[in-house]
Amino acid sequence: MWSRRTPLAWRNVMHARARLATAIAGVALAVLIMFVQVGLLNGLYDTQSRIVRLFNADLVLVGKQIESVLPPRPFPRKRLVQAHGRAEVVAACPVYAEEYRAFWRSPGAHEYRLVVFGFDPADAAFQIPEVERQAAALSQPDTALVDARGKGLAEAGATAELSGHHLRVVGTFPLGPDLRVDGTVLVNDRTFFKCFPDRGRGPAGRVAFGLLRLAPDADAFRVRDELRHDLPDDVRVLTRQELAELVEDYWAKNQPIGYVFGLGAIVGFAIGVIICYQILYSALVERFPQYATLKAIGYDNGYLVQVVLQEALYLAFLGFVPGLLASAAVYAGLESVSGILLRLTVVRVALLLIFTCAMCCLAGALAVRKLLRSDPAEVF
Amino acid sequence: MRTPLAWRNLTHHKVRAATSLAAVCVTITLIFMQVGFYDACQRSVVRIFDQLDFDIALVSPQYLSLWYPGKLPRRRLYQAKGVPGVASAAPLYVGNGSWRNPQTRAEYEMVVVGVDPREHLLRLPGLAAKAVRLREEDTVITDTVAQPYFGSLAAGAVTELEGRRLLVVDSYAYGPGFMGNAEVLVSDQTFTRVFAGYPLTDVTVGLVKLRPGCDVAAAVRDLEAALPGDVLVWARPRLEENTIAYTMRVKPLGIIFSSGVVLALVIGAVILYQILASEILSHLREYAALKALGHGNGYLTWVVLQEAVLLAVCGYAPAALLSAGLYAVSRYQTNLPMIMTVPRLAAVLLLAVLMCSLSGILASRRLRRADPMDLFS
Repeated sequence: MWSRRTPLAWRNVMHARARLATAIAGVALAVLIMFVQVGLLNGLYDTQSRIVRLFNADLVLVGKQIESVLPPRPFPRKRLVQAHGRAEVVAACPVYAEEYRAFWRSPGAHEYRLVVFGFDPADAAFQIPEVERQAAALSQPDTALVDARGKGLAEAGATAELSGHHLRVVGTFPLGPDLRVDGTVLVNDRTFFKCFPDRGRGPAGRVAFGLLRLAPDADAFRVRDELRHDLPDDVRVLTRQELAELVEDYWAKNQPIGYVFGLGAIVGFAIGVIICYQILYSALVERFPQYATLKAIGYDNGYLVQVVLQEALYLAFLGFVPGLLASAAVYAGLESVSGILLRLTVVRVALLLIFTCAMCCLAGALAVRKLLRSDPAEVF
Repeated sequence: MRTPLAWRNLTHHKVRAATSLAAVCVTITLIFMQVGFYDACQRSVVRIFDQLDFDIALVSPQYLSLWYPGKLPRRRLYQAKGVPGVASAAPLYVGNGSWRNPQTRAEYEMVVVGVDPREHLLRLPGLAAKAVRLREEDTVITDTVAQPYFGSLAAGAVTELEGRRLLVVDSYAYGPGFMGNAEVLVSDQTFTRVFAGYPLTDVTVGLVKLRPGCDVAAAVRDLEAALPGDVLVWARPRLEENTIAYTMRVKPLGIIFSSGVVLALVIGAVILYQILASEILSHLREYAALKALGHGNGYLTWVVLQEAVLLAVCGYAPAALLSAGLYAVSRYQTNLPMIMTVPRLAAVLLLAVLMCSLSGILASRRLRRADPMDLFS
């Protein structure tokens, strides 16, 4: 296909610069629509599982029976002690959580509900560099770290009230809101029990997440299976990845979000096909005499199809690059206004490139039919 | 009568006209869908209020939406009843509970609404009569328009809500919208039992009904004067506006849908411009000929404008039909309140005509390039 003959498709594409510019803009627009819709679709799920993916754990214990996973259904802390009994488990750290009864009041602001995680700062339960760095400050009594991207949370150094209990904000970390909660606050476990005394210390305490770290040579899946066998069925044992996927699946299955943005991506694809078709078709019509001449001097339909498809692919690639750049800008803008995670991963970019090529080729195939029916004699 | 040039231009190339129309149609559909989702998101957050009969709401100063409502002391309702013109002041309790699917035994979160069954709060036809059954202990009325994984929500089912056994005594079909996957109604007594002794003195929202003929604005002022600063007095429209404003401007999903509408309009304008510009380019020689015959730029712009409006109207009709269909499919697939309304049909038509005309005027600048001399070169 890429022979050393005259690069006819390339010359055709490059011939009319003004048309090329609109063509590229058109493809880029379709790419942008698809990127935004697919990005939002994935972003909404990624955002829901974000906190889970930040757990510093190989395996996570969560309460049984609640399908939405977050907010968690607490389970007896005894399970964590039992899990720690295995040789492969080098650390078993409890994380406490409260969502429905956690009310935060910054000075001069209204009280509002958020999610609070309580943990021992020495456990390094979250893989957030800012949290790890400020662990010493957080281990002081009555202190909190607040989500710098959350809504209406205090600055570092301020005092605030958590469910009626006075706290000192010793630092911030970047996280952001999700579909459920507007903000996140981290406190140490002792402070957590002061704010929510009924959560109980000691063996009667109930834990939201049990983070298990395994010895470097341990097989996480084998340990998981053995723990599932050993522990009573009031807890589930999952790898961190499985837990994150569980959260994402719940939102994918149970909320209309997937449907809404999936539909949006399809509309983007349809718009792309129509735009590309219009461009390729009008380029084709304009050069009709030239194509007819090619036929007259002996080139067959196969060659012409090849030229048009090649043109379509050039358009796909030329339009994809500005589309990708525009999408990166829109992602950054939307992420900062909405707090939804919008990540341009290699896989997603590759997938969208394939879709863009498919879109352009489909349009090229539709447009070329006119050419195939043409008779060289007509031109003369 | 002159030759209908715009019409002839548009219909000259059948295939070309069809693709242009298809592009306009898809663009308008995109706008319809984005507006539909935006509106569905708005409707879902006030859907619980739509079921209830009240004129004025008493809310906590912390109130943001029913998912972040704060709470107010029930005492304020008794005080409100003493204000002239107030016919009743009833508490509404809203919570999130986990519901056990009786078949699979799995638990799923849902919205639990608690009402005092002695008050006549429900305004959905038929629901008020059904609510009498809520006076029985541990009973629940379910909204059957829910995700199928909640299991059977029909009357007679016995299941657990937050671990407490409840009997489904009746059901209605309404739909929860975004954010909640299902909704059930219980009495205030059942509500406190389900949520482990939740104090009924902590009201989520106070619902005030006025006597017939009472002025709402005056009643709001009287209530504000009579009640201390720990409650806000909002007339119904204000409650709905504030709830919607919080959801659409602060919550990520609302922001996404708001930006979706803007994005659809921008994309729509660009596509329409592109279509009209290429329409003009393909007839440039004919336009040049018209110029040579003595027609001015003004006439040509008028022709393009006519073409633009024709495209808008012809693309709009199938788009409206397609969108109505997609709304119905979406409603069926997701239980979202996707509803096509006459004002929306009119607004999008107006928007389509405006966008096409604007694109047409912009695109017709290319006509100036139509030089009669080109014809003979």
